[in-house]
Amino acid sequence: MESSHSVGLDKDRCVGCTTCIKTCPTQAIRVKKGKASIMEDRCIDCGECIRVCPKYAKIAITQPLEIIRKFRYPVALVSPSLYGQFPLNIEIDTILSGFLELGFKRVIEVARGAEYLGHFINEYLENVPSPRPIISSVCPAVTRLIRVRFPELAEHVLPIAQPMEIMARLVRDRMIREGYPPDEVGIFYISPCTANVTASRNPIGFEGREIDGAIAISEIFWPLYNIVKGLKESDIITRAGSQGIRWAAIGGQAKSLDDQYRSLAIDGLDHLIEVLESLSMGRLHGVDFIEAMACTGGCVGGPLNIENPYVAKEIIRQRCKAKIEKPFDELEDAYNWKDFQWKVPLERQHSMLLDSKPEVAMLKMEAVDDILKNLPGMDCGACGAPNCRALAEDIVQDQADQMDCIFVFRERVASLAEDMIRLSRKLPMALPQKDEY
Amino acid sequence: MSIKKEPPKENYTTIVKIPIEKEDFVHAGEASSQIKQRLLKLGYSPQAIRRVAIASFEAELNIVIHSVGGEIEAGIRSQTVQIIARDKGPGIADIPQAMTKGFSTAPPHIQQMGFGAGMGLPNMEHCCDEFTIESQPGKGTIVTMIIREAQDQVSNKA
Repeated sequence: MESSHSVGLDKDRCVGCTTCIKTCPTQAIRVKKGKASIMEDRCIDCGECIRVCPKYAKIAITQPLEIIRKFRYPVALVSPSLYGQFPLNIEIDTILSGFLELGFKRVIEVARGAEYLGHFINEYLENVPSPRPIISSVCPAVTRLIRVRFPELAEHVLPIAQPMEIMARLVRDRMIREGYPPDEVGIFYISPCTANVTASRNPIGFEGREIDGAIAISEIFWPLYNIVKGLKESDIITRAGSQGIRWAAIGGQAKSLDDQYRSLAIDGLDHLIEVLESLSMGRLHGVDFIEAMACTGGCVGGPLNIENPYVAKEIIRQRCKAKIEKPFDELEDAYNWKDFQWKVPLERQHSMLLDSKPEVAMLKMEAVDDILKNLPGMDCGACGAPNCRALAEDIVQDQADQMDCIFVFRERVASLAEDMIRLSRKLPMALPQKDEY
Repeated sequence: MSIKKEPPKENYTTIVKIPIEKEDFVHAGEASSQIKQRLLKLGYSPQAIRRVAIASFEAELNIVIHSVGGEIEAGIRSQTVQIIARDKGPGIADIPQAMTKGFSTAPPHIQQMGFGAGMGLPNMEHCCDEFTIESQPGKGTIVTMIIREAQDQVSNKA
């Protein structure tokens, strides 16, 4: 369970270039012995490295479709970003029907969970006087980023289960009520991203897991497409309306808010980090809610999708135009945010810490600053660390050596060469000296 | 007028020292951001880091808006953070007035940018355990802020 990240490496493909180490938002990657390696305690599973790797060596660790056969009653929890992968002439009902043909016994729309959560966010904003703005916890990469880099903002994070978790819990409860043996129900999330694959294994805010596995959209798309394109009719009538489906793209959550609330919708980790910095310094005023998504475009921009995020976003928009809102029935309306409240508070992750003892940490910081004075400051990455400071920190932590820096190394070689020339001219006293040199 | 003396600062180890330019809104926040990152690496509690970030950013902004330029220096000593904001003038004539919520001498063009609401100094004082301000018209202003780790957070680090 500990090593439960969803980003792995295809060693044969990795050429040891330094593209990924530069884009990692938590500086979690180092190139060692010609291969990229991830520092487990820093990785937030955003999948940024999968996206940028020019050799396709960074891979998502998800499950194959066959995994569903381990359960007698497999259930598909479908991310609405899947609807953006199919051309518009294939209806959502038809896409969902395809899952039954693939062997799932039920198919559940996470978009409906989004509608629940939209409702809960309004409740929370109205009733809980926690510091504003509330930061959405829908994207687990964002929540983990806050845990690693912005622990001071933890009290801003929405402490409510995310849509896939809400739906997983509801469907499991219902199936157990209907008499299905709990052990034989397997719930699988159809995921657009690595962050949610990890969240399905290692939930944030809860002890136990509600989801039995995660299958990448990229894994399921072609088998599903081959079935779906031949389907004439569908027995399924979708439960989710446009309000939930819209959550597939950035701006969807903000649109679920009641009119009186002011919100920002931010996509892309670099933009988000800027805003979180501002918030942390107290320079963000008058905002009630931040819709924060790690991927550009929101979930349709997830690294496990097939379609270009901009195209997918437009498909989602068109689908929402044609679709009506579906209000909650009495049973659905009975839930409130506290039913899905986090049981475990968001704990800071200490992966940026130089040392657990404050005095030692300070000494290490001074040592880092000293080492940094001798590094070129080009942040070239040739040493395998993302920048000179990261190398200096690695050196202090005994994870690297000054000579890993190509410039320091060259200087050292040059000075050695000079020493050798000087020494070669220095003859033993007993020999006749060559004064002319 | 209550002008307090700057407390002795020999015992603090400087972790960040950055010059701040007059009206440099683009880089405002840089000092605060660096201080915050360093405290995170040193294991300070999220609560203390937040207070330091807000206090130092306001101080930085004050130098940008009101002074001819200055610097921010942050130092630490055991569980305490000290932030000193120094500027080279013009100084504050009436400190109690400057400390009043809503009082601002920021020119209209800066208030239009959303700054200068007269909450800077009160906000800084609010974030600190100790706050001293020393100023001489024509010379400059020194604001010294001390932020301590709350006792219950010191124990459960790492």
